[in-house]
Amino acid sequence: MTHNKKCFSELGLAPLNRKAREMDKASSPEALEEVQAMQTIAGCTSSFDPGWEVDPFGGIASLCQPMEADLYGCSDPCWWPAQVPDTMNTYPEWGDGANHAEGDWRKLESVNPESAVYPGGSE
Amino acid sequence: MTLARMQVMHGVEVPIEARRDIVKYLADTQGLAPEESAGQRALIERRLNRVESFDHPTYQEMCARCHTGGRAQLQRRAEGEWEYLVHFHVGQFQTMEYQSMARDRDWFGIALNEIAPWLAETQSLESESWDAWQQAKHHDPEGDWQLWGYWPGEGSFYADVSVTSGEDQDAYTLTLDGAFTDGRELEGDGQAIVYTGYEWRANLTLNGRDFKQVLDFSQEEPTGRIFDNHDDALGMQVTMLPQEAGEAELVASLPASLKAGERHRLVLLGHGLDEGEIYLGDQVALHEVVERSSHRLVMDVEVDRELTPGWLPVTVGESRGDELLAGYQRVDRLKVSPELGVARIGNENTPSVSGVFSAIGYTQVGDETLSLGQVPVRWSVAPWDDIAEQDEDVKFAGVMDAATGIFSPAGAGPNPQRQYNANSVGNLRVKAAVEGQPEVQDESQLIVTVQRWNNPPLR
Repeated sequence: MTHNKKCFSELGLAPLNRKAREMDKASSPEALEEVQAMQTIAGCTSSFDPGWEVDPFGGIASLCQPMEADLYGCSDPCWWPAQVPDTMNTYPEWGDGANHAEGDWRKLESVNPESAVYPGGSE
Repeated sequence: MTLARMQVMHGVEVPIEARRDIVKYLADTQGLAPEESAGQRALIERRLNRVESFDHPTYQEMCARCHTGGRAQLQRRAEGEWEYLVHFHVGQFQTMEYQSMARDRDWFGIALNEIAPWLAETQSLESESWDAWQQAKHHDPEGDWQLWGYWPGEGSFYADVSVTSGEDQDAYTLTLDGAFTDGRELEGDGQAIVYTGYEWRANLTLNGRDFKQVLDFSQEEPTGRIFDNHDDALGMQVTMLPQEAGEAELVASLPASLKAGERHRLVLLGHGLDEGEIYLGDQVALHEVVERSSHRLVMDVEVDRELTPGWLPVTVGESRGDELLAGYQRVDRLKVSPELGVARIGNENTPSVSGVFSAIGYTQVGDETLSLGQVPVRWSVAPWDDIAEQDEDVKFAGVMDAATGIFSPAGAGPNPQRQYNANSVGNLRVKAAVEGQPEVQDESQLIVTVQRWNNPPLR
């Protein structure tokens, strides 16, 4: 479905990839809106560009894969900062020493400081 | 969270001990009353796989599209301070307004003019409940308790818990001595701190494994959750009951149902159970009393093959539990939960998050539907749709334990065996079938997705 409310096929366009095919399946503007308004599991981002955990259709087929291929394309512009440390402001050194995420992903660490709430000084 | 942000974003250096003192001071003097945290116990206990809903038309899209809406629901601020929070978001996360559900609207204007006033009204800095809580007498955790719950993959358990005051203010040590209902021992110990007069936070070791524990001690019978800090999905809802009480009563039965023709260990929990006749109905034979005290009865029982399904008339002395223990011949309906689960692939730095499923059985007796609690089922996974089948998600995403319903996700990273080196993610159909009644089934969806590196306690 396009912004002028016509399917790709009506415009003589063939969807090239899976995401486009899924979009084309959303047969009415209302259906697309309904998909986008879907609630996700608490704590998962529902920011549908396409979404960190789940795509706008409730699956994973439209997620960027493998995620590492564009990981710094997420962290550098502060996209999904609740899931991915943003190197724009908050964790500028997060990706240092792991220049190629597809090969260096094992070097990337969780970022949260040790919790002070539980006794004993452990996490 | 505010302290952590001051450390991470503004370089404040605070030793962990000082930080704990600050958290304690702020929680005790500017915390939340039990009524104010009641709606977000699931978030505090790190229960996953929930769908939130809020009494505001756009709060979900404006705030809870990146993190839980519960995060802000656990804060109280004056309107000006809520506005600061909006400014903080725009300043710290500078591309936020370009993202979906922001670029299609005046996000900043709506946040300042609609969301901040709504939060200031519904979550104001001053509240009657906080004033009342500061005057209220708080329950003392010190003493002897019993605790019970269900440990995924291990089974139902019960334990005597002894809580002793420590040297520091509101600090406690505890020991646990109990068993699973199949007779295996359960032992543990730990340390706890109580914040705000009721928020119990403990480090526990149970049978050699480390856990966190959150309890709400504002209740006569505190409830909460014990969970693995490295895999929040692996946790158990627990209830604590003082061992001593004025009146005799039956409070809980482990398990919640007995099947016709089977021999079981049955555990009854309550008060005043050490005296009087034990009667479970004419169709349940009591072979042996394994353990008996004022707060617990552990028995070896056998159910008649010709059992008439229904609630069993559980009686101990003068105490009777009319709808405590169900007897059944067959499971008529099965309900798997959660309906939608999210698991995560992981590695050393970002541990995987399991998929933990449970199946509750029901039996129909006339017009009444009786819950049987968790019943034995066999678990399996299948592709959720054609795409998942084509991508072989079942093969790559992880392994479902057929006996326990615990799904262990695959490792993180690009997978060279998959098309485009895709991660080992998957869109799966989780199926449960009752043991001995394979035709009685239910299913739910499991998304196995990528890891996250930002994992604060409140997400």
